Amino acid sequence: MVLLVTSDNEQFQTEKDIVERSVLIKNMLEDVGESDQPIPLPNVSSSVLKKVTQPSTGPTEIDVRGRYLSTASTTVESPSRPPILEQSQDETRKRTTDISEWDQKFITVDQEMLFEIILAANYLDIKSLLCRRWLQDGSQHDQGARPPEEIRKLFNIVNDFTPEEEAQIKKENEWAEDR
Amino acid sequence: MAVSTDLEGTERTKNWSDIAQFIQEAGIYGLAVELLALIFELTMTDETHVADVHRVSQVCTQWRRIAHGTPRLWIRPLRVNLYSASNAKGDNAAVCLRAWLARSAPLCVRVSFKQALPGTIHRGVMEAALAAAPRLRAVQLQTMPTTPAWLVKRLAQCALDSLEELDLGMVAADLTAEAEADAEPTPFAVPALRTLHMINLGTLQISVPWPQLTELTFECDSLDIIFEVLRQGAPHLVTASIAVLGESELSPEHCVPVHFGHLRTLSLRFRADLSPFLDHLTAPLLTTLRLTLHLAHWDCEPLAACSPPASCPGCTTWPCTTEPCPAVTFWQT
Repeated sequence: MVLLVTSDNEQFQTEKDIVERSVLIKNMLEDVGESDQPIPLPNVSSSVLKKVTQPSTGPTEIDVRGRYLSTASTTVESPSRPPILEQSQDETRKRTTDISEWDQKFITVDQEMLFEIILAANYLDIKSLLCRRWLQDGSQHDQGARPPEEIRKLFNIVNDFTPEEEAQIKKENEWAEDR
Repeated sequence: MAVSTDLEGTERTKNWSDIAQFIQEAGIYGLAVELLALIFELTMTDETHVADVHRVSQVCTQWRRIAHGTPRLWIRPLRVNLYSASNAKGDNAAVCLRAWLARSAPLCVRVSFKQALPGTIHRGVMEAALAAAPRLRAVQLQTMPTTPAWLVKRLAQCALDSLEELDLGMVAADLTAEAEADAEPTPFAVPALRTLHMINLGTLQISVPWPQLTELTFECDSLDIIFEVLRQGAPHLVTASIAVLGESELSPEHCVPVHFGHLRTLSLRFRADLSPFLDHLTAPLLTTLRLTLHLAHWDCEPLAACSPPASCPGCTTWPCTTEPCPAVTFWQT
């Protein structure tokens, strides 16, 4: 077990394999070796740390267009669809993916908390939380970046640029390559 | 297509990427703009930031609007190629660079100018960058084979209000008739300057607020130029690297004491006799001294009068008898 101390001076006894998801904490543990000394986390509050250190449980499902489902293995249509999806040619297609119950609870936080969680994830260097892999795929693309068309495909986003904007984008890319 | 196919599949229940996935998904549909902008920012790295920011700004109009409206996405160190294979490419580069820098406003940016191939510098690109002169935090010139004197003079005409670091590279001699007639140093308006790097191959002299510098790398052909600079005072220098490439001796009128009250690290590379420099130098806080000397000047008297430098802990006498001495190397000719 590892003892963590948050910015509001709360102490957390947490399993080592959980806290080691954080590269920052993992490196600190490697530096200090076996020790009962508490690890201070001055940039993370107790409420945020609870969210990023709780272990996960079983799988359920979400509608990836934006709404969680209350039960596993069920897919429902999102009740409020964003404008960008209204333009989708495949309006009836539903996509599902597994997500744990804990993750579900995790996500049902308000946006202010989500903001804090992302900042904490950045500080703690929890790479999987930083969304980096969602826009990057180093094995397939130069510089580790997914091209915009793949991001659109991944998230079912419609390319709504005008021809003039497309021409501008083309010029941007020409400059970026010559830079 | 299930998005989960892109994730590591073994430990699904403990895979934090699912959370990232949801955040990303939710960001498209309804997260606050600030939150989505933060996610964009966290996906960027200094090495790939141009591709990174283009990637998110070229997905759809919504993402483009958010990216263009978030200045901090556009302030990573930017390398600008001043060479262009054609006027059309150069003109496009100027337009794109101007737009890029405009998106970073009002924040400061760091720019390094390079020239991928020797040849004509596209002035339109240079001017596009200088349009943001008051917001330039750092400027580095890496043109081939040297930095033209006109480029330094053009830079000096700008109000570089935020400039803290200036690297002029290897500045060529100014052979124009005007330069021959005008011996005055080129003044820079750099009220925030802290770091200056310059290798002066010619006669062009510049004037900056020397007393506020904390780091100086200066190479030139003569001891006179060095003392001309140093006698203006650099009391806050912490790190200095000074090289004199020529063999001319110090003129009597330049023999003035130079006091570095805060200097900790000093590197000297002299082809000429080091004695005049050391005779006039005091640096009570100096902890690291590195010398690169011509063999002919090894046993100079001022060295013998000095204490062994801390950078050579094995020294018991000075000049050092340790081989190899970490504080001294010989000039390779």
